[in-house]
Amino acid sequence: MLKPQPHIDELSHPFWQGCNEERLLIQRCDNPQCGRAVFYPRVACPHCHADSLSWIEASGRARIVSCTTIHRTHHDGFNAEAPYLFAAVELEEGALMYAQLLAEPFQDAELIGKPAAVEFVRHGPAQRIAVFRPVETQP
Amino acid sequence: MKTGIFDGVRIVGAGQAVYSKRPGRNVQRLLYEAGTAALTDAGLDWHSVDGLAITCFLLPPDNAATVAEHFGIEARFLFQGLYGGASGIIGMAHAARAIRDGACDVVVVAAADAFDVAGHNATLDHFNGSVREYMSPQGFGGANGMFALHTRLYMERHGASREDFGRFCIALRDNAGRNPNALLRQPLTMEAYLNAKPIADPLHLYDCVMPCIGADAVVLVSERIAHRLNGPAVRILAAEEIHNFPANDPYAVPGGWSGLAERLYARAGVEPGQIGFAQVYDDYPVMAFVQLEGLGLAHAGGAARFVREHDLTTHGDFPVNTGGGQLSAGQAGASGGMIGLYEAVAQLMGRAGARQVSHTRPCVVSGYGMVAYGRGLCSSAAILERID
Repeated sequence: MLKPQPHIDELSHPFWQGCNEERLLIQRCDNPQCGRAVFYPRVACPHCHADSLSWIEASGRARIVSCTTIHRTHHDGFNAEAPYLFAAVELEEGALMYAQLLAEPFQDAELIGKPAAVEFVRHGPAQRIAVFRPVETQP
Repeated sequence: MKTGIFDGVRIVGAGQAVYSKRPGRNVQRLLYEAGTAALTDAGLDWHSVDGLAITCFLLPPDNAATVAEHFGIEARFLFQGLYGGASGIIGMAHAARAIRDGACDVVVVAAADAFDVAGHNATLDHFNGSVREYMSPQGFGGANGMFALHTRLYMERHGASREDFGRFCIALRDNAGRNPNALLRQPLTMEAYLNAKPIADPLHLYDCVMPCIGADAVVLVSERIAHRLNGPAVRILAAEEIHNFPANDPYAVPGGWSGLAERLYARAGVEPGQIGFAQVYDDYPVMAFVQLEGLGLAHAGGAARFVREHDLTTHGDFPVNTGGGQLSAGQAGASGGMIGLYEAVAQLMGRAGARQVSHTRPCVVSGYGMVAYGRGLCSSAAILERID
């Protein structure tokens, strides 16, 4: 069964197009006094309220903030993969992102604070998606 | 007596629709049943109603105005809650301001929904833009997955154990045993809690609410109307809401309530130590813990110790979620944000039957809702007191 697909619009298009090109695109505030990384995509900076954000390619390096093993999915499209890991990760640039974690399930607690790196996997007929994999040391 | 911001407003009735797992009643019918029960409790009927505050995920394409049409109400005040489980208290506060300012005299504040697990997941999947676009495609596991992340982080930060969350759930189940409208009334043992099927680690089945069909309502009136009634009454000492607090940080616990508690208690003119019991939004035990802390009832990070040291049952030293909460009564969608308000008013009016708490100290009620990119954005709380 097809997983839930993004409803791509002008705001989310760069991110999802980036996934298809295996580039993790996030936003950064153009205000030099702010300059903070932003995810999910916004129309203005949620930190300083400046009206201009630019897309940048993130390094893909991240730290696992919290992690769970999903047993009961929210959508039948994920049933074949359960149990699987789902995590909040903090990107090296500073923004928080939620994604699946490619690793053996049931080690949620041990993974907190560990480094992870982005990978891109097939998500639908015409869409790839960003996931993360725990790594021993940052590449 | 201290002059309160809601002086001149009284809560005079509380009621529920019969909670059920079986479909068959639409949300308008559920709202009508709960509203009728609350009006009957107050000694009023629908003829006197001139305001509605409605929260219901399944109501669109209908809305508060079409509910007024449906029920034949000529309304001078309407509110429709868009803030999920924070909306019940917010709707009550808006209604109280409208009555205080003379816009209307009798407002039914009600919430209803008719969900099963599939319906709940379908609604949540499209809850808002960030969930639909960046959470659901990533396989977030619904609200369970999102709050599993909170629960795991809370355990790591504060040393809470699954047994601590279990103590909370078991006490609520004990309370539900004395509530004929709770759907889960059989006693819950720690062994059954710990060994229940896993949903999203560390959450197991009894950490998660059961979606169901139901509705809750309270009735607010002006003093002019209240003087014609014979029953007990409740006043709102304070009610506060805060959204997206703290901005840009989903893992700053204790979340929104720590941003509203100081104003809440200052406006109410009471200290946390004077609160006699609490009705907190228990979509997951971890959020109940965070509310106990944010509202100053437990120390920051100290809710696990609080549940070890206090008896949360209706006959205990600090009763919490005296009807069983959503965890044991069931979560009727948006009415999860009304069930605590219903329960607080029923208790303060002395109409809680076998689960009636024995004192008449003030009650704090809190709400939480609109899960977005990693957390619920909306927090609300009120302090209510019986008028003797």
